[in-house]
Amino acid sequence: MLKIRDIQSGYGESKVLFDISMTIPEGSIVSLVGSNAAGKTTLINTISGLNRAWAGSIEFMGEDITLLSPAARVERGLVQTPEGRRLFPDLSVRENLLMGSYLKSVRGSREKNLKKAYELFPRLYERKDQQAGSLSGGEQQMCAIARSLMSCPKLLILDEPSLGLAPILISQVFEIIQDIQRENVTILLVEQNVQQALSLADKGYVLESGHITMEGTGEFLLHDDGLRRAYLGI
Amino acid sequence: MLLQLIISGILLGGVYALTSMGLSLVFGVSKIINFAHGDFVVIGMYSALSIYYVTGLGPYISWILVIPISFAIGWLAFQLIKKTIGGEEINQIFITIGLSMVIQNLLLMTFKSDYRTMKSSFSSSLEIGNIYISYESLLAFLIAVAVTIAFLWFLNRTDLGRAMRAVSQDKDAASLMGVKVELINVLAFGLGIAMAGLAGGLLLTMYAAYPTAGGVYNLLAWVIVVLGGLGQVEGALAAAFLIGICETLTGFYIGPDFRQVVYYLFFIAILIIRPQGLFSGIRMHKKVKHETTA
Ligand SMILES: Nc1ncnc2c1ncn2[C@@H]1O[C@H](COP(=O)(O)OP(=O)(O)OP(=O)(O)O)[C@@H](O)[C@H]1O
Ligand SMILES: [Mg+2]
Repeated sequence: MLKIRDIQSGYGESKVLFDISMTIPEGSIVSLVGSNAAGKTTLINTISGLNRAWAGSIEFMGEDITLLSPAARVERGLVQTPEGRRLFPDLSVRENLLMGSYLKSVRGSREKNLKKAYELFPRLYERKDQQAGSLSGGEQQMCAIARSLMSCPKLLILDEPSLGLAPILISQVFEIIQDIQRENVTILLVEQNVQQALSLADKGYVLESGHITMEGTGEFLLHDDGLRRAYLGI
Repeated sequence: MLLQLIISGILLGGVYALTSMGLSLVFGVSKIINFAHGDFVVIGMYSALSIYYVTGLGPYISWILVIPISFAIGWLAFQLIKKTIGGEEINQIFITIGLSMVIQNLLLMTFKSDYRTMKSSFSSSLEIGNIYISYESLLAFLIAVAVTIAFLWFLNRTDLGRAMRAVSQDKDAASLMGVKVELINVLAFGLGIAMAGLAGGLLLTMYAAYPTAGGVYNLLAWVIVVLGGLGQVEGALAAAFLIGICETLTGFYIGPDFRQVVYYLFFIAILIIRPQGLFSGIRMHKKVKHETTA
């Protein structure tokens, strides 16, 4: 579904990503793990088109999208839920969700998607007219995911959805992610929560200082001694 | 007399609301600090005058033409300013002040420095008890109110308007929803300038046009926008009425020449007492309360 080859990117003069290659098969959950400042957000922002790729290519569903605008990528079903939720704080919950179906290509399914989002997250329905900035952290994450679902994603990229949430909420978020996958949405999950992210992943990548240092099935990586020492403290 | 002055102030405030909401939109969405905004008001005045000279149409009809003309001028000006978006604010300030001088000098060359007014098309005024309201300002006010309602409807109820608000809050998040931020920026700028120009066309029913009048309207619009809370369109709307009333009162009790002094005093007082704006209080309180209970 998504193939990236030898991607390089960065900010100003400083290169952050060095020849990154990844393959995400359709229907799978792929986890990308790595410590702070490894370049995870930079990588997925390059995939979404917010950052320019300095070199390399990105292919989505057989099409080269390396030079497309972020909007054109969303139109094709490549959707990102950014790190830190990034809701529009002064817009109501409902308006935030409507922003998810801003594109003409998905506006037709707006009512249907809105209904589905409220069914999936009844809390959001209760708070639909409240300003998004006034939601609790967990509710904000639900709202951010629901907003992405409004864009009819084929590939959903989630950047640290568990960030700052209580353990019980974290398990809830991971369950929701699996529910979304069951609806035929491919998932790229970026996490620092290595244990949980890898245990539900079909495939995992480890990113360290802008290099992919390991890849394999989630199972395989979880049993790798080096990774266990570096990320799980075992 | 007091009631008479307050009513005149409200009528004036309705027109000021247009220009200030426009400035607020440009600041909030496109993140441009525009010190040429008042000059676009004056361009609107001269556009209405030119239409009058050529076709004989008064401001109550020509406003329909002034809007697209101003929008187009705003679109062009944006091409000049856009390179400064996201850069140093000082560059924006310099480039817009430069633009303001260019506009004033172009107007001076084309129209000379004369004060120009438009002949009234009404011979009488509306009389309610002992209060007199000129049909001129009443009509201008009604047009301003209608456009304001349409504008707020657009901003709050349409996808494009919602996208403008979203971009003003987080442009990267908005582009992840497929919003073309560049297009939103130029549309918001054009719309803001269209509102300034429209305000100018309507102000011609109350004030004379002269090439350097932009200075006064720049100041006026900024005072109102700061008073209403930077980038908050509804706040600017409320503040505009306050300033309108304040202006008619000073004009009568102190003297018309003191208009600008009063704006400045207001400006300084706000920056000292409530730098977040007079009308941003209610919303901020709500947020703070939720944050502490969360
Ligand atoms: N907008 C930016 N401008 C300049 N440098 C940046 C910018 N964003 C990130 N960086 C730098 O790029 C490097 C990678 O950052 P990135 O945000 O991609 O890491 P990350 O893996 O997502 O980290 P985290 O887990 O903390 O979110 C860091 O050294 C960071 O300082
Ligand atoms: Mg990150």
